[in-house]
Amino acid sequence: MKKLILTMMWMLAAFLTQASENVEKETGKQKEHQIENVTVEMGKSNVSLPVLDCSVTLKGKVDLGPIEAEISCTVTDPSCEKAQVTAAACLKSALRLYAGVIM
Amino acid sequence: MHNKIIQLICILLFTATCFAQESRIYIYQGKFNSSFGRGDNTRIFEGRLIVQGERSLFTMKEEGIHEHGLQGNTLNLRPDSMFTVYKDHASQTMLFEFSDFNQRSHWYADTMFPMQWQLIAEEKMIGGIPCSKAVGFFKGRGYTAWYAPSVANSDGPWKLGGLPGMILEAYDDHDDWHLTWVSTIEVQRGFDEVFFQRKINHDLQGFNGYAAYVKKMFSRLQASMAAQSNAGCVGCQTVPQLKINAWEKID
Repeated sequence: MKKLILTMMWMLAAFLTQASENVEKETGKQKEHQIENVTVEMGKSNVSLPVLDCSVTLKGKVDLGPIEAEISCTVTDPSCEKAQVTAAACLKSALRLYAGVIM
Repeated sequence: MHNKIIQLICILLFTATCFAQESRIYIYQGKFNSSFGRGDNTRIFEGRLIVQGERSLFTMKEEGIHEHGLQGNTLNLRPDSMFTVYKDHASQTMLFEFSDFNQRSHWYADTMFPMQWQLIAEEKMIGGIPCSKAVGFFKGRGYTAWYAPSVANSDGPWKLGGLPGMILEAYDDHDDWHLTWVSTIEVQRGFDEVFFQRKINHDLQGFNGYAAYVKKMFSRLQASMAAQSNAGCVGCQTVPQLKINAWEKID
């Protein structure tokens, strides 16, 4: 009888140990799954960010003394370099045209 | 016969000298910032107010090298003389000059001393002459004038005047335009009055006519630029915008 009780206790102890290991393993899997979910969400946020344009304004002057005309060229482009080059070309072209018309 | 002609010429010259009106030239030193309210483009000027009886002529000339044409991002078309104004106190007539893009001179009439001066109880000495302070508003700008009650003339530099004494110093509220009297000289002949009398006799346009002309001039330039842009020129992907900044408010 004693042997039977000891065997039963041993089996119970073994069962409890096994059960607790399973709980830990399940919890670990859940955490891993959650982390994977977060990573996916972050990836989606990056994709939906808006593309920012660069806006460049360059100014020139026609100086008549008591009257000064301000010429401004504003260019917006995804590339800042392209915006600057285009604005500079616009202003140069405008000043040359004015000089050509006037002088 | 030859001697008689020489005698006649001598008599005419003598008579002309006797009747020639003496002129007094008030010389001012000062500055003007043509980028007023937007930046600093200050240059040094000498102003001259030539008083000849009841008439006067004022003009300002830039000192140093006067650069002209396209320099960097500035197309410099400033005339040699600016703020040129002719006044005839007897007929209360004022004419002012505007130099266009082609340096062509246009004359317009304006009201003589419309500014309402407020006399301030402050005094200071300018070149040893006691002066009193006055403040006023004219064509969109506030001005301070220091006038000399001992100089019995209500004139002053540019269009300013109408005070009980000659204006010896004047400046706007932002100190973009500032002139101070430095000396006076006397000459036999200051300027040709006939030229201005002829102008007065013509039907000159007033300040509104001047404002309309300036607007028209710049709108033509804007239209030229837009036309070039529409024609698809390189570097014209965007139409440049033109904004007029006038010392005297024109709208």
